Amino acid sequence: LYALPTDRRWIPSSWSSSSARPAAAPRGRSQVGLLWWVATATITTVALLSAVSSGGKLWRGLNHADRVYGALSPAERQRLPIDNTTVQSRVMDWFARYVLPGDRIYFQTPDFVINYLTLEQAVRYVGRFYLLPAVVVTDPTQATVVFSYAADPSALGLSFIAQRQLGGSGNWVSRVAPP
Amino acid sequence: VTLRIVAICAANALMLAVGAGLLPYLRLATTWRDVVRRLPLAYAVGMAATGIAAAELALVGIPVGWIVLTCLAAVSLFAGRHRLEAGGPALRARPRLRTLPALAVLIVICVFLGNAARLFTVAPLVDLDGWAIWATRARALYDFGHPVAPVFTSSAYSGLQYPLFLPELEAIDFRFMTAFDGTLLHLQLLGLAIAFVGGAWTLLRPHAPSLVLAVALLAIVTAPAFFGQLQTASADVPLAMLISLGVAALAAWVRTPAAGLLPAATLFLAAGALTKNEGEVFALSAFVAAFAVVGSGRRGQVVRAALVSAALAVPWHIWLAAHHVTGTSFDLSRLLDPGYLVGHWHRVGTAVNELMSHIWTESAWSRLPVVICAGLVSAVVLRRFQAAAFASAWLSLSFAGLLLVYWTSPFPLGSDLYNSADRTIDTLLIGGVLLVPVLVPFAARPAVAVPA
Repeated sequence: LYALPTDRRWIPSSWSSSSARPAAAPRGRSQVGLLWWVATATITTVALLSAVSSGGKLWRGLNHADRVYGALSPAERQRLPIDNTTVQSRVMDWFARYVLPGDRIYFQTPDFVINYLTLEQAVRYVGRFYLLPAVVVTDPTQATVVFSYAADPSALGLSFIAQRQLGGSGNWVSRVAPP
Repeated sequence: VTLRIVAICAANALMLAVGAGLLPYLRLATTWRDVVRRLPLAYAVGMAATGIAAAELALVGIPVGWIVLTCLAAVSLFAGRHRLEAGGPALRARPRLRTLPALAVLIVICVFLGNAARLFTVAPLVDLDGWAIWATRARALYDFGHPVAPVFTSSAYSGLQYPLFLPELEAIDFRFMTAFDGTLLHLQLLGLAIAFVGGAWTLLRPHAPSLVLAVALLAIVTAPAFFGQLQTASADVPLAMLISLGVAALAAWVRTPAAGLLPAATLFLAAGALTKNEGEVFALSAFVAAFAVVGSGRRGQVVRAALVSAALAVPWHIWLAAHHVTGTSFDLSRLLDPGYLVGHWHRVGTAVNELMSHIWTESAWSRLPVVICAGLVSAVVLRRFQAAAFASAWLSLSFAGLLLVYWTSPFPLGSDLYNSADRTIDTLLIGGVLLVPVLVPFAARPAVAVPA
């Protein structure tokens, strides 16, 4: 059942020509051979048990995930990271319309915790991934555009060359300078 | 979508060509027949070499896309062909009957990989680390062509200290697709899994019982955490696969210094070191373990291999230093502060408990720890002391390395372990299981010398 050594100087006796007789096995060699069979059979059994015990669950898990994710549209798949952080994807999509390549974005957010992240962390995580090739900065004075997520941009004390508000919400995009 | 999949396949075909050309240089093939027979290994070698080259070239502002990768493949094939002209005889074919059970197991593995492929073509980025760190870095490399500030230098971004192997591999696909695609990037991770299985089979089969090797690979692939974590697009399972290939090749070389094993180990360990910072710990542990167990006559080769791996990792550290990026998840300088070490000793015990608990979590890794224990015990019973010593030393040093990281981490231990302990152990488990077939090579058969 097992592959054989590739060392060309040696070949198993069963492969050798009839004229080449195997040397007599020294005492203990058969014992070692038996031990080897026991050891490899044990390892093979344990590994197969491991595979059998988890393989079915894995198979069903792959199929389930395939059904769930396969039902999503490409746009829904793209938004899933955002939705998972409870940042509103429609707000990020709206903001993305005003972001240009080369922009440096500052995120202004109120200080509270959503699940295991602060809102600032969540918005920043999403923004720095979703809004590339624009980049995120931590200092508002270095920003070319400020995104206020449920916050008041005038509190930053910056002067803006243009501003937009999403409906009557507390979400603002404020341009400080061209990129 | 179909065109994008074709583009990813084209990129991977060129990686395969890079690997095919490198096989003769790594002394893993001497004739064209060898190259063809070892194409699965060529894919793994090509992916590792391409990832390393892309990570290094990115540091000097050269993005690897259609043109560069085609040139790399052409140069590799041309140079490899030159080497093959002086090649030796082809390897002898083995009786197929003996390997049929192992081939049947490989077919089962392929079925699982095929099922995973269905999922990976529709899986979105869900896991926080997957998109907030790894996909962000890959997308930035695609957008800018090189590691750009502030994405790779500012504390506003995460994972600054992580090297570029995996993001660059994904960025190559985006350049071929001419678009970022957060779903199809999973196909590159699946490609890594295919390269891992094919590479391990082709590389280790001459040095391990084929059925044990095949079932070890099956046990790895069917562990729920394997595809579960691969699907998150984090780098932990890719790191584990690369390091495991390197460690298994090194273990085989420790036992029998066959040509090609040490160069292959060096390549895969270097690729692992360029995937995540823990990779450097695992690679160093492997070289230290090999240095300790081989005879003095072979230690020079181990040192040279370690230096080559280190040389490939140095440019990234120079880049980090030049851009004043400091490590954020650990601070090894604290190891020189006895007061700190004594005061934070409790972190070690907690980390040991947490890591061991994750290692033995059956719902994640099935019975892989039992497979590793069975392999180590078998090696001792069969008196394969050198291989057993190497495996034990690598596992112990790697585990100790993880403990050092948790001991010196600036983060609160609870959240640090909660966020990472289930993934940092991947390499220990996958590497440990892949070592098992090498630990129990072959029965002591009556043998005769081949007549001259």
